[in-house]
Amino acid sequence: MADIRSKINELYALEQLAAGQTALHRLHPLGKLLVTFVYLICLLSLDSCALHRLAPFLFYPILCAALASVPLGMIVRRAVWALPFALLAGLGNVYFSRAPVLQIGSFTVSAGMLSLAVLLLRTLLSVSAVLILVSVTPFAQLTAQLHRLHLPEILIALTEMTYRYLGILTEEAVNLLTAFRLRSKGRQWPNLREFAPLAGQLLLRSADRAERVYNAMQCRCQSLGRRYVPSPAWRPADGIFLILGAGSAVLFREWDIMTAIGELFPW
Amino acid sequence: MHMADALLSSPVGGAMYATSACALGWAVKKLDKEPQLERKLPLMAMSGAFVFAAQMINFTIPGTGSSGHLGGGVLLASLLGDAPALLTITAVLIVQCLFFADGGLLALGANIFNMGVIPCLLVWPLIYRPILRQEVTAKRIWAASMLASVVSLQLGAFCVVLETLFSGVTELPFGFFLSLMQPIHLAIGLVEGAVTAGILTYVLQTRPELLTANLSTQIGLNSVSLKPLAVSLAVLAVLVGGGLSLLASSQPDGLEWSIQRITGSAELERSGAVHSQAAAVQKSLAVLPDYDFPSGEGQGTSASGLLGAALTCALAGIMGLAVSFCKKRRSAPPA
Repeated sequence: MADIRSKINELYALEQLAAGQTALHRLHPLGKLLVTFVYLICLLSLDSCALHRLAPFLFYPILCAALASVPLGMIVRRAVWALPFALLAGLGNVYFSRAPVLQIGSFTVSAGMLSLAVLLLRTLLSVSAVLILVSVTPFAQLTAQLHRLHLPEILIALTEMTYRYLGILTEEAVNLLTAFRLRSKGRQWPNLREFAPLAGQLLLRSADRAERVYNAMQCRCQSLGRRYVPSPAWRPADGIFLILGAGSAVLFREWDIMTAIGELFPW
Repeated sequence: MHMADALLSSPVGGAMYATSACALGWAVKKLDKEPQLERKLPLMAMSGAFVFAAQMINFTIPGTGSSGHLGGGVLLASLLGDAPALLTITAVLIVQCLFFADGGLLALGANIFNMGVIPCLLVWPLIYRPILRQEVTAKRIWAASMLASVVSLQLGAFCVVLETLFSGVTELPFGFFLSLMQPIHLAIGLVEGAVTAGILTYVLQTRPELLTANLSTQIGLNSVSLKPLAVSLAVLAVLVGGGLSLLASSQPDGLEWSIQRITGSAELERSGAVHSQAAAVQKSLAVLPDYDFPSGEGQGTSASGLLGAALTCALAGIMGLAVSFCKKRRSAPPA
């Protein structure tokens, strides 16, 4: 049960972080969104074996986490969840691409090993960038920005509502599971035959709750027609962040700064 | 099946965004014609949250000793219909991507296509709905759910293989990768089908109107023309894919790259005299002798690069620590 509860807590931990008041939190959501996208595009378009070129891309998550007081450990822990499939795809490289590319003492590094390392590091960096975006931007600000970017209103409203109801229905799932465990002599999970009515019950409860939500919306005269979303002012700090964040990502992608730095040391 | 950003190249990610955007545009346009849209919206949101919550409850898979959880694509389509289900899955994928690192932001388009467009816009109208159109019975629900789940997962897994290979991030040969992915997803599809059928049969016994409502709806695929969708989808995919390919890696990508690896021609070319000479030059220029390349292959990582990378990592770490330290000192109460 603790795993489900911890998942609910994790869901709202990022939201609590997003309510912070650091300089990064106060930046315009559009600037943060653009920088994240440019960062991701630049990171993912790098050469698949250029391990050293990923190093400067560490600056963005590390500095942002430090500036926004976001615990980097939490970001990395969450990012690690994204690794299994990347590992599957990358392990194939280790087997099929055995050409030696690097000798470290007596240990030979193959091209496959290098590309696996690049793949895993890219996964960690890209997931970290997205998690940092969410941990410094309240969800309401993000969806309001998506509205200003003219995304369909129904999709935005649906995403907001789904997010809001996640916690509620997860609590329902926990209640159902508690009831199951109390009646099933210490078994942790239901079998396939038992799972169907259990999930079916959850589904019916969801449908009932949806009906109540609709009635509540009607009582409050809420409709899909767009509510007024105030647009935050674009300040000089937003421009500086955009230029620094996106500009550095493009610079690191276009220029092999690592080799240039390494060549500065003539020993 | 959630794809991470690192598994896709920017052009493939962009092309999949464009493709999914077209499908979503079509779904939004179709839903605009729905007279009861506001009534349906809470149900769509709740269904999305339900899939998420139901995924928290694992079930034991007989004979394997392992456990699995619900996927939900076909289930949502069978409860809500094609367009509402696509939007609901998209909302779930957005939340999963942003808050749980389940699927990447750049890979969101690919994930929407693999897990939303395929089950909702292809499998539901072509397989699930025709089976249940005449009559909704438990047997038909089982047949439709099993077939739809297996087909949608097989197609989804096939698309994952194609997208990964076109992105050039794996050297697994196409056939091998496919033979790895398809059987795994066949097993997952069968379990998913059984679970979906079990839930829907339960709903049929208790609240049948939830199942029959969207099957009898008059707004079908025919009510909105697919031609503009198909044309704009193709044009956008080509434009975005072509435009973003300017940013693509200089390596040959996708199948070409994989085939090159399998045949080994690239390795043979690199073992020639030119490369040996290049290796000698590189060795003489290398900063750290022990970090040299025995075959002289650059592969993007040189000793200088390694040194620079190490220095940069250290610098990034120090800067992060310094910023944290300064912030802590600032926020500490005065003595």
